[in-house]
Amino acid sequence: MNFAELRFWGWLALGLICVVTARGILGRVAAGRMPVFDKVALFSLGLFLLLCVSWVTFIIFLCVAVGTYLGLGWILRYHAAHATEYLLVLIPLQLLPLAYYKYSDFLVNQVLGLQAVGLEHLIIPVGISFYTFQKVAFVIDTLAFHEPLPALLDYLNFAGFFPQIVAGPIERRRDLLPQMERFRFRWDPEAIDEGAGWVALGLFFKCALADNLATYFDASSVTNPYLIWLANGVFGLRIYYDFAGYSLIAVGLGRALGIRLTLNFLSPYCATSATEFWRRWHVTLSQWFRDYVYIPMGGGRTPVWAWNVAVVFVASGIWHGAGWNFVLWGALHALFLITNRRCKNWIPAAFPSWLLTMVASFYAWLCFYERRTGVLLAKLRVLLTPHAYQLDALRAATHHWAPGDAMVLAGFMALAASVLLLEWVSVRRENQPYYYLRRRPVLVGLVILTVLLAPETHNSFIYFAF
Amino acid sequence: MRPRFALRLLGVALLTWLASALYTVRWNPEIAFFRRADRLKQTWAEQLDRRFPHKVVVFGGSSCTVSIDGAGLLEHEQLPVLNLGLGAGMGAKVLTEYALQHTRPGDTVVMAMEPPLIAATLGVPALGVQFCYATGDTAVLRNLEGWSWPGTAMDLRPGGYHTFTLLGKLLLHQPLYRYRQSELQPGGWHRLELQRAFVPDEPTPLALVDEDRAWLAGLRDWCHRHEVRIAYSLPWAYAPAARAEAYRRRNAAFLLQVSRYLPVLKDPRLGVYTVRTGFADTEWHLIPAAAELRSKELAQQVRAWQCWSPAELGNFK
Repeated sequence: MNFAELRFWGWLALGLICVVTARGILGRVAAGRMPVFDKVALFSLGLFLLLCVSWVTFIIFLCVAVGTYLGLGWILRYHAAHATEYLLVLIPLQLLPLAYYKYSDFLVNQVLGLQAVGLEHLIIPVGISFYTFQKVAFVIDTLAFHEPLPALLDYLNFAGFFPQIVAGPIERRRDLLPQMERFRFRWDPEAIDEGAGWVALGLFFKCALADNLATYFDASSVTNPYLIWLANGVFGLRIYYDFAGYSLIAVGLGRALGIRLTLNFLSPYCATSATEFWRRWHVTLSQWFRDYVYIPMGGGRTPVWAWNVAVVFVASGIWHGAGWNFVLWGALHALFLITNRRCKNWIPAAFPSWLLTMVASFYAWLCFYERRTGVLLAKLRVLLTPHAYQLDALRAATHHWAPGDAMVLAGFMALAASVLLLEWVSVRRENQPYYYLRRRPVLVGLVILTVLLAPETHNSFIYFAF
Repeated sequence: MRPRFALRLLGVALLTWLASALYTVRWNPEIAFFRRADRLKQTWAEQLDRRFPHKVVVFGGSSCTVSIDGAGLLEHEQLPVLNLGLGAGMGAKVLTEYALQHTRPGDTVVMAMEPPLIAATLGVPALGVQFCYATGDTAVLRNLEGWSWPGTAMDLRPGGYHTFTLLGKLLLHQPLYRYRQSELQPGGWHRLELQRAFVPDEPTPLALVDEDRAWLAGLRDWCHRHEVRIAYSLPWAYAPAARAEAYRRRNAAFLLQVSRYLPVLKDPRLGVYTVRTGFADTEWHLIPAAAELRSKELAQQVRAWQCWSPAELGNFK
């Protein structure tokens, strides 16, 4: 379900044409069955689009979704009194496919040092981390808060709403399920217009910025701190525009269908502290860890709050990928947050705070893309070594790219910076992320830029790998 | 009620694409250069077909275009040679399909394609698609596996690299394309006089993947079915004299892989030319004097039709 591919939009159009045609026919013969039909059609459309991704993804999704529902139904029916205890059984079962596909190689081969060859080449089914977490949250919310089991069709639409199934946002029962229970295919021009705006912005982020920046991501230098910073900068911008692009398209598609999804990014590069950064970056995952890990551990009101933060962020790192680099990435962010809390208000001015936050965040991105542990540690050291920042290194860095490539990279960095500036103004003046980017004349300009600048080759969304 | 704004965005996207497509096929300076090259090559092909029962078609990327002087070979060696080289950025499949369209039974085809183009994933890059649309020769695309109208139509856009470099050139008052159409000669040769500094690539190993092997086998079978004689000839590339042996060994290993599918013309140089002044602006682009030598030697090799045996190539290890 790659929104950046023309094929996806073709399949979606085909699916919607089928739904509209079937609705037209059904409306004449059995108008009363329309609400059920709409729900069946939405779920079928989601399954169809998922099947277009791969049949393995399709089957594993169905197993996790149906397994969760059956397990939950069984507990509520036969063990309602001890429902919470059964969480300890059901959640590990839900996590089993994720553990096998994503972590077995890391655990068995890298942590335990065994030589299980078959595990090395497992392909992670697209979206497994996202929908597994959504279903775990659903189970906890249902059992812990004594919520009733929803109708199967509503649950399936909650679990398999196609815009958010493969890369979030990770929606909660209270936000998405009631909307699914009321879902109808409605012709709402206002909602379609609003959705189109989000989709246009998301496509611009993904196709014009992220995919082009990806071409200029070069992590080959291990000793030149300027080139490592440049790689971190390009990667940090790319991953933001890539993931935020996907999330905005998901929000737009949802809106056009009458469903309000959570905005997963709130202009994170406008944050002036590590705490604010995590309120703006991958919002639904941060909330998930806050509500299901951090608060149950005692949150920030215990003497061991720093330990809680560390556990949450290391777990968040591991959620992103199975590797020591992700563990380190999480640990670094935990360190930033703990320091941030301890040294609150040490820097009163907004600009130095923002600069420090960005330097820390982009420093940590190195752990996200550099998976060779030895090389990663060497690079992290180089960035912290003052005498590595010599004039010769700077000269080598300026000659790293051919003049044409340097010009293009500068052009894209300038474009990305202009977009960030608009985000900054939106946040500071209007307190609404993307406010100015979503003005209609700006969106028209962004559509033109997307068509002109999108590269010929599409990169898959980075978060599909998670 | 209609979703006016959504429709407006869709309309803007469509109009921008139309304008981009028009720019690409009509005014893009690089495409205009190749369109001119195509016209000259077509004219030369028609002349040769009228005058000779069979011709020699040499094709590849830009290294081929700048290296083989078809008109010169006809004049001095009485060998009817058509240089159908274009640009490496068009991809191996488009370059090959374009050349095969101009062959007739009994012709000789010499593939003089840069090894990195063959030892790679064989996609159809946007430049190849744009060239085919600009010349109206979409039959080249239709013959390729996986071809589709919407897929290729999406490539009729400038893209980020072209847009920003074009803006830069306009701002800096530089020529919009680095080569001039006046450098194109009859016979399909690109006479390249300029000389610029360049850094040659390191001799990294060149390995064919399954897709490349299947494609080469398909090409061999096509030629066999259409009574066309085919061979591969390694283009000359610059190598510093001190490292020439390493480059030769690398090239021999590559040719050994190719020789399993196509005969490889016996060029004792193994694609290595160590005279720095013989190159124009990249390690693949010969200046006219070197191109004359390369053309002459290739003509001799085609006439002799002596090919490397696997054992000979294996000895270079």
